[in-house]
Amino acid sequence: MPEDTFDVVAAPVYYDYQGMLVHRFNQNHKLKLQAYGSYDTLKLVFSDPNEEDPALRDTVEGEIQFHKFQAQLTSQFGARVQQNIELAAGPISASATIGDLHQEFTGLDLHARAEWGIFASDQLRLDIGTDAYVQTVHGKYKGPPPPQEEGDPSVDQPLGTIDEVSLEDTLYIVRPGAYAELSYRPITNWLLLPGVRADYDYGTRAWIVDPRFSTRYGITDTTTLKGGVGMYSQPPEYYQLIDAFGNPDLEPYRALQTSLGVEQVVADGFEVGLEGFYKYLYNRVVGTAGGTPPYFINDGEGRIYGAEVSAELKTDSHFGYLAYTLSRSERQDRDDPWRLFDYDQTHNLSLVYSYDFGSGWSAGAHFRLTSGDPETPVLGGVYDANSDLYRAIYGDVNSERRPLFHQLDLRGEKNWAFEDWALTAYLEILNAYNAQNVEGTTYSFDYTKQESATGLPIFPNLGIRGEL
Amino acid sequence: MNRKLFISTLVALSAVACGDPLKEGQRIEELRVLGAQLSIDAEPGRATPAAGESASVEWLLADPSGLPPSAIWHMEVCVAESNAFGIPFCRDEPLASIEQAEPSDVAPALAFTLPDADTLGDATKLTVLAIFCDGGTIEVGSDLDSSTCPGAETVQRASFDIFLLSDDTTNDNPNLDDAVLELDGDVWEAGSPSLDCESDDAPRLPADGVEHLVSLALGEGVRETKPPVLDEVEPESLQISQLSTLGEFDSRFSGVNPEDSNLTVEVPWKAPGELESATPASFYFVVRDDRGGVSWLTRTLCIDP
Repeated sequence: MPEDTFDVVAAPVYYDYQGMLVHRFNQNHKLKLQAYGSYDTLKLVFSDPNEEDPALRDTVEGEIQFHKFQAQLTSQFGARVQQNIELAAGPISASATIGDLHQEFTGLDLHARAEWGIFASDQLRLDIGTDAYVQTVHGKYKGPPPPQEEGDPSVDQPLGTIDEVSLEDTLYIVRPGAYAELSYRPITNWLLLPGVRADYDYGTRAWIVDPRFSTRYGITDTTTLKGGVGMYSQPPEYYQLIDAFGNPDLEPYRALQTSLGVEQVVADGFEVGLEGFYKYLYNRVVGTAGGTPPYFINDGEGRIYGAEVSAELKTDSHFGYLAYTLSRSERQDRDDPWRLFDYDQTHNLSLVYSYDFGSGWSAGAHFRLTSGDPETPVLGGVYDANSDLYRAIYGDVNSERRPLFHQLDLRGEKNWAFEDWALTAYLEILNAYNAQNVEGTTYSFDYTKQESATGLPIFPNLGIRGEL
Repeated sequence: MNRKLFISTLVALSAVACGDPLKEGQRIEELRVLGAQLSIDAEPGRATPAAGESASVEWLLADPSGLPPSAIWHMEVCVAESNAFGIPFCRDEPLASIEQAEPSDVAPALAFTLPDADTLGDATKLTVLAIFCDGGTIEVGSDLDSSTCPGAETVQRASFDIFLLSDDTTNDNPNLDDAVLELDGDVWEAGSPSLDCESDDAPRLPADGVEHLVSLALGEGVRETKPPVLDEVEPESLQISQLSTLGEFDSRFSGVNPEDSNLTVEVPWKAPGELESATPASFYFVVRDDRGGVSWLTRTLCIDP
């Protein structure tokens, strides 16, 4: 970076804290109090507007903080009833300035949960509970309208090419819910888990009821079948409901999730598993065609399907884990053709192995092999005379893919165990064979030239860690 | 926004401060569009037209010759759909269009009359969609993306949003009447755009790779106070694009921030290292107020071998 890029760089200032107090009233009641929070700030002042996006100019600064107090009371009533009550609340605030663009908000964040576990018999357990998430924030916003969460390559466009919106408002996010799950064993090796969750979302004024069911059946002592089916829901993001750049009439979006699998113990310390899954998403919130009012609509679908194979080896000196997932995750926005999800990975292989040599010495390796992320081709650019920047002309969304990603990380360590503490010295080598993985594409200002951006090169790391 | 996102955003912002390694935007190496300006017949300085007014849009083009570029073009103006991002597109049929099928070095311009208020309805802006080519034949497609010029070496597609007059948008083009350009401390006057480097009268510099300082004093009247946004009232910020057909400016953009009282920007320009013959060079300074207001200054020099 050229030395004169910034006039002023204020060093980042940050702190974290946490404290905990546990009081046991008696054998049946325990109270845990926690306080924690953090604060971060950073400031840069550009000496000239940024070459790629002159909206990045003048001051770029931000501050974010939260402080939270949490109380948890766990109780045991007789032999058959457990109770857990939690409350966490505290202030939150954040501000960010990028040249003429600015956002700031302050508010209160509250989580509450009350849960009871009732052990009716060895075969029957009932878990019921209620929880609530409440957030109230007052803020100002002056900046670009929010884009579709995923599947919209125009999020990479320079800020200078996007019309600004501004608003000042107080928002209330109120989401109370209740749930119940039954664990029932009609016979020793068969577990049934029917459940239901009901939520109210103040933003959409909607009640949602999601029934779910899963089961495990031990065919033999070493073979277990498992499966599940359930509905899941998620309210729209709060900003998607704001009238100025969203649609207050949005509804929650829904998902049907199913899975079926088998677990097999091959030998002592060696297990393998196979699981297939299918998910169907509907009522997804997507942007309107061309980004016109009402900006967001419930007109998207999704489907995710695939299978995962896993194997785990665990002995006194060996630990190994292999997981391979073959899957496909697709989305359809409005009436557009089906496309790949932004983070679809056809292949995802993870292999971990470590060996304990004894006397505190151990060594391990982690190998990853995954499909490259989908990418939307850029076909050219259109000059925007209002900003002196170019907007990309995109081809079909996510119709291309980056090359395969692969990386090997190695680690060796020596551990010294003392009476009250332990010391570990380690050497790890990230990206051991210096794979040049493509993790992005950069374009010239007018989109006539492009080049691939690669990730971290080989990265040795020597460290010492002490633990009390 | 969680902390990870917050920090990564700021880190990403600082990372993009390294300029464009693939192509220098301040160097004109092919036919380029550098800006567009709206002029209202009844009040030429105003950038926000009202229903029923007549106006015209003029484009600033440049190419490496350092002379007014020869190009063909097609452009049309229409009421824009109110999309906040992405390439602008028309809500209605074009209000006017014009095509230059044979190469011409006349500045491209389009005159039109806005419809009445009832026809405009809740529209907030018009958009001009244009295609400029250094040769070939224009083929106008259903939208800007699909319009092209077979046979051309360079095709430039461009759009220009025109914000309609309202209490929130009233705006003038930056007033450069009092602007003063200096080159190495000497006032740099506007010359003929068609510079004859055979003439002894032409201003000139040697192609010696030496860095020169260009300063642009914009004058007090260059910017307005913006209409209040979230109860905040502040002067406009100005973005200055500086480009040249020979040599290279140190950066593509300069800026005047709302809090700045100094309205002079300075930017180094490095002369080319060598040339075979005396060559005209054009310099462009395009000032934008980020609200649709655009004005520009051009200067010419001969660069001697």
